[in-house]
Amino acid sequence: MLKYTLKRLLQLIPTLLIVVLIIFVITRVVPGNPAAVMLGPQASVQDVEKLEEELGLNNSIWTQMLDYLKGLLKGDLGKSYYYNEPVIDIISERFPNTLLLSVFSMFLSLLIGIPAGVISATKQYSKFDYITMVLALIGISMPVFWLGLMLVLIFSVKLGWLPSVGIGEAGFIDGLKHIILPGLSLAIISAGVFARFTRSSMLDIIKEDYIKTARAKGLREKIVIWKHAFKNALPPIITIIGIQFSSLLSGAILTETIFSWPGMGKLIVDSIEKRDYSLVQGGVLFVAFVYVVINLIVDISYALLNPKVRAEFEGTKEGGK
Amino acid sequence: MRMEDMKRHDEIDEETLLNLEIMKKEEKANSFIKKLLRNKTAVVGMIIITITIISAIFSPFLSTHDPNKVNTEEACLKPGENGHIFGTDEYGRDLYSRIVYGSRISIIVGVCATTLGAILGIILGIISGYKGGITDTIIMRFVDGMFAFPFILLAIVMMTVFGSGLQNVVLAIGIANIPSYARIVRGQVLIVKKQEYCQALIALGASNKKIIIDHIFPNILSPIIVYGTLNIAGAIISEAALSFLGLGIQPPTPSWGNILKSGKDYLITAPHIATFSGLAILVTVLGFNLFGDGVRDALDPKLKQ
Repeated sequence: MLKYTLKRLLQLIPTLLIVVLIIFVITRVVPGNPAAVMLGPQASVQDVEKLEEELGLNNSIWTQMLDYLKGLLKGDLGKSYYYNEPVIDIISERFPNTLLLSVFSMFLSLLIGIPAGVISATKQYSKFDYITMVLALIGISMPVFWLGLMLVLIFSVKLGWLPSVGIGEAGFIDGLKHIILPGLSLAIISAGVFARFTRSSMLDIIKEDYIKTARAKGLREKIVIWKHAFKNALPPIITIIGIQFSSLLSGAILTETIFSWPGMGKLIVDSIEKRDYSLVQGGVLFVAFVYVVINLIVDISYALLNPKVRAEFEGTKEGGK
Repeated sequence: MRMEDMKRHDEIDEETLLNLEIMKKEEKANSFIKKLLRNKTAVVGMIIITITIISAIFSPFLSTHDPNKVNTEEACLKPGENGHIFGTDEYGRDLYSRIVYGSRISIIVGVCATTLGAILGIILGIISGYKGGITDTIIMRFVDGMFAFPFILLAIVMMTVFGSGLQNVVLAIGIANIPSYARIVRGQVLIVKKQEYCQALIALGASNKKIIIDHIFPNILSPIIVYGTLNIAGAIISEAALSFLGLGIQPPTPSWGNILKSGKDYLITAPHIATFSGLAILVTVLGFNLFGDGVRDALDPKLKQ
């Protein structure tokens, strides 16, 4: 297992280097002079030159890249032009909010999606199964930003039950009230994915001989389903949980802008509007880094739960892609 | 005389084999269509897609008003008022006509971005899987790098660089789609390449071009068709998301995303703007998802029913 983990960790290095390269190239090919774009059309030539000097844009692209990499190794993501603060400080202030929203949504979606999928599988082709699957497909097809707006319309505008903007800073209950709508809009979509996936994963297991044996032994149906079948259907579900956590992060980019949730998504979108490229670059790089780490954790936990995969990986020379 | 007979005999044999192959393909296609038509949800999906395509092509005939005609006296009318089926937007423009015209953007972006991503992804996947070695490592590491970004974030960053507009939306979503196709195709190529008939062809000295076009490509088609159909739905949502953030299609050109963006600002006074534009996205995406699921089931040899 240690060998596998080390191998995956080593693979991370070139991936992260390519991530840096992609972001660096993208932010450097902005049409026109990035300093002039950041300062806007009214800026004087002197101001543009000064900012170019500050950002190191006068150096060759390789020197800029090398300087950026050196900074990254020290945890320096540059300085935000708009906030006049180190990018890493702004991110460390905002990221916990995105993480909180993602974890909350994940919890809600698991709470809805997994039981729905398990019951659907045990009652295959029943009314419950059809209705759940139709709802799940509608959930998957729904744009998260529209769902967010509709929840605001119903629960904030029409019913006045829940607040629609901000994070809520007046204690736990206030915080909970503020997180419900953005959390729910993200969770409904993920719950659809979980329900569909859990159902198909459970259906594969339920047909296995050992489940028939468990039933023949006279075990209670609840124990057969949850202890025997669900336990074995878990490894692929865990992979999906990891993938969904990554998509919750990207969904959060859109949800945060609707609910003015002060997280990474709102930060990146706002800094695009403010043309604060250092912040865009740093923010995107940070999210990509988190994304890569989550995928790594998913891969490792999948291997932990499924020794077959681990053996395959360790036995194949080409493996790992 | 004998030589001529042999030649004719060979020609007949080749012709028979060719006919047999065509018949086999037709049989396969017929069974695929039969399976697809038997699937009720896939048929519902097909109907939704057909309606969307018809509304995109015949927008001028299906719309009731000029979608860009501003009439501030009729701003934010409710559905059904003054002959406006879905009401009007903040500039008094007919919402139904704008949504009908908006289907054009969704279909164009959905199809073009998916095609672009598929073509480039297929090329990269085939090169990577077929060549192997250092070429494979370089391409796959680059694909891993692109995979490290949340899809929408990659598209957002590209839109910031490219600037707004239809062409750039297609480009950004198309490029962001490349890694998924490259990975699927590479995996399939590796499977096909290892099979005995393919190894035999390589040993017999068949050209790479022939092996790829005649043998590998037909075998990787099924997963690509399935992924592509579902991917159109994703591309439609992505376009709407980019336009919703103000980075995609710019007003006054109607797109479901930018209509939704203005609907957000008028959510309290005119909730119908956001409701109808979002419903248009939801129904269309649902159509492609239903159809995509049906295509997957029909192409899956494990599923007999």
